[in-house]
Amino acid sequence: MRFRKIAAFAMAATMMLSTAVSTQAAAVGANEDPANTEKTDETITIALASEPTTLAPSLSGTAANEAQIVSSTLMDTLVRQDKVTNEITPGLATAWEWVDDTHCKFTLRDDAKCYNGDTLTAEDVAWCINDVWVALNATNDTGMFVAGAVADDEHTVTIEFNLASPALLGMLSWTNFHVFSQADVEAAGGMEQATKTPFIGTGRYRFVEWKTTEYIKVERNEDYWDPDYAGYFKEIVFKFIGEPASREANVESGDVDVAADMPVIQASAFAESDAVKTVLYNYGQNGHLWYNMTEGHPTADINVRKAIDLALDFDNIAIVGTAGTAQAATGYIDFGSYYHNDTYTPEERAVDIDKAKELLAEAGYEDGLTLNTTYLAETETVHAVIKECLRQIGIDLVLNPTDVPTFVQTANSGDYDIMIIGEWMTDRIPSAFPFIRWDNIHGFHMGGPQTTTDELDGLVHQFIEEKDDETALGILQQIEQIMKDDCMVSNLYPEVKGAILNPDLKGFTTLERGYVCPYNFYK
Amino acid sequence: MAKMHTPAMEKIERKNAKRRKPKRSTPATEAWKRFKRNPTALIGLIVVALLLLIAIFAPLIAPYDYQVQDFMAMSQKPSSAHLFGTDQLGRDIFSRCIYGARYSLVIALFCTIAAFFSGGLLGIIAGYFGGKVDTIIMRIMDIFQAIPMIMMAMCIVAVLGNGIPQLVAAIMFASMPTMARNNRAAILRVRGCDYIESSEAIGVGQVRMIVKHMIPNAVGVMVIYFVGFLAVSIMMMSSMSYIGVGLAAPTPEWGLILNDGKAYMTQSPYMMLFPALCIMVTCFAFNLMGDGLRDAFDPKMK
Amino acid sequence: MGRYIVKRLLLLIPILLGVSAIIFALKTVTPGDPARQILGNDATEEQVQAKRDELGLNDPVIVQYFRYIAGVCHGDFGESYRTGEPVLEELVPRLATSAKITLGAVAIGAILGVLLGVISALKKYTWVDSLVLVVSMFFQSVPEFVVGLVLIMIFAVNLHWLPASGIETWKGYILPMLTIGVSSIANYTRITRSSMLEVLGEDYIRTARAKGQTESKIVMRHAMRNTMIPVAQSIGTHLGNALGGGMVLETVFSVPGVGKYIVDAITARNYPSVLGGALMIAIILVVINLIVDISFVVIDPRLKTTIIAGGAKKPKKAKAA
Repeated sequence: MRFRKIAAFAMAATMMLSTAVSTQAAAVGANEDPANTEKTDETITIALASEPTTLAPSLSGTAANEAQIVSSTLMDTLVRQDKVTNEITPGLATAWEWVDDTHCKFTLRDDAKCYNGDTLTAEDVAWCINDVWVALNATNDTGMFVAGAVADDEHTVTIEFNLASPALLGMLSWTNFHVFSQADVEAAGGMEQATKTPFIGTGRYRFVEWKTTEYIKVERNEDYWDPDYAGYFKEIVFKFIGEPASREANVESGDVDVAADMPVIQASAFAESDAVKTVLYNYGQNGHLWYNMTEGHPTADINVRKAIDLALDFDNIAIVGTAGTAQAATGYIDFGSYYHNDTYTPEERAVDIDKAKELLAEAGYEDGLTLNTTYLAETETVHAVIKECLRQIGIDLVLNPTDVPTFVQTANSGDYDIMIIGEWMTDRIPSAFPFIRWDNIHGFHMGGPQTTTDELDGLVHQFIEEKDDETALGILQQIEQIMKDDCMVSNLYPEVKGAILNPDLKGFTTLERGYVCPYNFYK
Repeated sequence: MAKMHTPAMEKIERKNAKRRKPKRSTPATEAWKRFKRNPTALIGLIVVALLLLIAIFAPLIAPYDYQVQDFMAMSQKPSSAHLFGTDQLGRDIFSRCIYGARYSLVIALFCTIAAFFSGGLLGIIAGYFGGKVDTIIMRIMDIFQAIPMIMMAMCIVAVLGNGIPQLVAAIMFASMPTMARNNRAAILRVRGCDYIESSEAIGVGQVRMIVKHMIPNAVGVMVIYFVGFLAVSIMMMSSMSYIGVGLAAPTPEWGLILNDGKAYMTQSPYMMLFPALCIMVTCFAFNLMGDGLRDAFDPKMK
Repeated sequence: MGRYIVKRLLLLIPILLGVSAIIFALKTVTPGDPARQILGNDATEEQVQAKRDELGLNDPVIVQYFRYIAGVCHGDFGESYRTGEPVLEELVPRLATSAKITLGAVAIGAILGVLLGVISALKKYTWVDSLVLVVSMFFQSVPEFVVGLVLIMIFAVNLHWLPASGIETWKGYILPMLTIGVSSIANYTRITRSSMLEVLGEDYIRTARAKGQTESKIVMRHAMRNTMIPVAQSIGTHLGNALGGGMVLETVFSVPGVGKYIVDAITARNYPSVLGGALMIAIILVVINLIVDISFVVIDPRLKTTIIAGGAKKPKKAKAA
């Protein structure tokens, strides 16, 4: 008995140590150990930044943040990925084996119960992959890389992918790759209805009610298959409070337990508050300032791009962008990732106003010039800093804060000179570098530089498909060097997300892309 | 028109003009006399004058450049170095509020002038010509009136984007119906007066009638609306900033500074307090002045 | 009377046509593609085009406009781009919520405003009068959302008495009502005060005084009734303004009312919802004004001639006595 206690203590200590050492968890409090081993009758209320439009994203043919946060409670994925070590662990599949480069065979567990009580079979998984992922999501991540699936027998299913990449397995752990059965979808009233009343899935929680504009309620699935998961809270209620200040005030007033997606600098203001707990966390995405290199934009001239890069005070931009929790980026990929390269030396990152002005003059803009940028209103502060940096070298940056539809349209039409867009890459992902791939560049919603070369495009494909991680890292170095030589992008800082919690709440963890994980909290 | 300008008419007018001169008791002078005796209105006037001085001499008063960011002094509480504290980018809130007087007052003035030249003019035309013109203009205004002001302004900003001219246009369109209605009412009141009826009877020209007789007599009421609308447009600007359809940073417009500060309201209330005070004091002064003007031009109301 | 009501209601038709035309016009020149908004960032250009076809966005604006009008005539306000639900179904509960808040707010504003107005009229030219003026004008000079935020800080964040947002319980209604209410006090105070002063100067009040009636009886029994007419008139406009102006405050308090519905719809380019919301507000405004006008006739039959016979159109008679 005594020995077991000591062993448990030692294990806990090692876990804490490993968390502390890992750079991924460097930001304050992200991905705590979910010691969620107790069941209570309590309810947790989570305030999201906006109301989802669907509760089953893959059935709606979209991938959307809020929808994925909610649906992660209702449905499971085939595999899971440890957010700290990137290790792939079993989910609905207990084992998997690559048959060849593009085929992977998954063995399903036999005790996962669908909403209607039936065991989830290989047939169900194959249906979901063929008729939902592939059929409805051809243009987003969910369907883009999957060709189809075949049920080999009751418990094994083979998935065929469109490309060969070791990154595909990790991708299947993302919440948009949820699996559910056809019988559940039909019982819920068909595909369209199931996006609104998702009485589907094998998940930790069951759907109860979605009262539009007010809340979404789910309750604990008492028959959940994972014996290691208890589900501390009986009910999870999601509310939608658009205004960040109001989300925070709701935590302070005790009406809400978690305010998700707080603008980082705003969240950091509460770091010393006793009334709330602030979590600032890095999630593996670097923010990048892209230059529009198409004809007719001053930024098509490399001297202008270099001048801007020299004028930007990356340290101060990082202070504001990350609320002082991280240093400025030194490469394209986040510090915590295996694929991080120090592409820039500190000297190269230093501000040099005179040199920048010289380059501008060389480009024919000695009298200054006007550039414009479009961004979502929540990133106002960082843009205010960039505007101030550019003012020093005579560039008047016109700020156009806007809403999502206009932002997307502006990005697509290329009606901007510079634009900040981040790329999430903790590990290699099949959709890496969308901005410099020929197959994505014109259709891609976020715009990017809207120009690339065959060389870059080829390297990106090699990077995604390369089996050996070290070789892939080498390829990435080449990509980054080309982008640096041509000054296609200025790497800004590791993006940080913020959340404000009830001070008693523990177990803050994240899903992919830093989404708040709603089901691991406990008190 | 032509028939109005008979020599006889002109003679009468000239005579009238001569007769009026020595008296010097226009509605405006009478109003000023009454206004002077009203202490609250005078306070309003003094505050407005002070604000104007602050706006004009902003660069001399403000200790810092309103756009300079100091990352060594972010989110500092009010102190002797930073009277109103600093914001999340280390900018001096006092300096921003001082420059804010420039931006907010000037934009408010533009909004009000624009509103008068659109809605106001339509109202004057409707009120003066009456009949079909009146019906058509006012029916159109009814339609505009049925769209809430903020909604109208949001739609216009969605179309035109962010910026000072766009903001002025948005507020102008949004306030057009109210402006038209108020000015029409002002003209109608004057129209009903005996002296207008008699000048109509002796055939004074229409333009001349509007410019020489009706506007000077309706001007009192219009000034009240004008001053009142300055306050309204400052408030509207700040509401629009709040919904996120106002001006873009780093313009030091009070509503925008306030909106920046709102994010930190529970931890650093001063960030919101000072710009809110600026808005409040200004609107308060305009409202007091407007109230005084109302009493001055319209003694019957008192 | 019946004919008058019908005539006024018929006026709704050009207003609704006009409102929808204005919004249609704005919609066509607004950047941001609703089809793109519905499909999300990942959709291809072909999918977006297909969606545009499905929504009829590729038809000429005139065709879209008349199709919409034809739908509205059948009680079909279209379906929300966002949820796919009929707009009318979404609007009704939100209108009810907004109506509750608006009515409560107007009641708070009117009661406090009239009270202060009466006090200030009775104590005219004293410090009480000035104090009332200053206090009521104070609330008029602070943007409503600032009042709202301050009330949230006090009552929700610090005292934990009331929720900071939402209307799950009746407590959620208090702060929004109070916020909209206090900012309109000044208006009622001013109207009540001047109207009261005017009434107190009338002959019948002097008669009553001469008869030796107590001052309180004079105020309550004789003066109040006539004072209330302009007050009632401004309640009509205030109801309309509060309903439309609720947009900002419903955002502050995250109240699922019609104002927030429209604000969200404008940002999301969800035009059926914008149009539906705007038309509903227009209808309500017109109906409120009609009810107010009719209620005058009920309060004071003498006004029948001016209101119903369209006396307002004869400005020459409008001269003050």
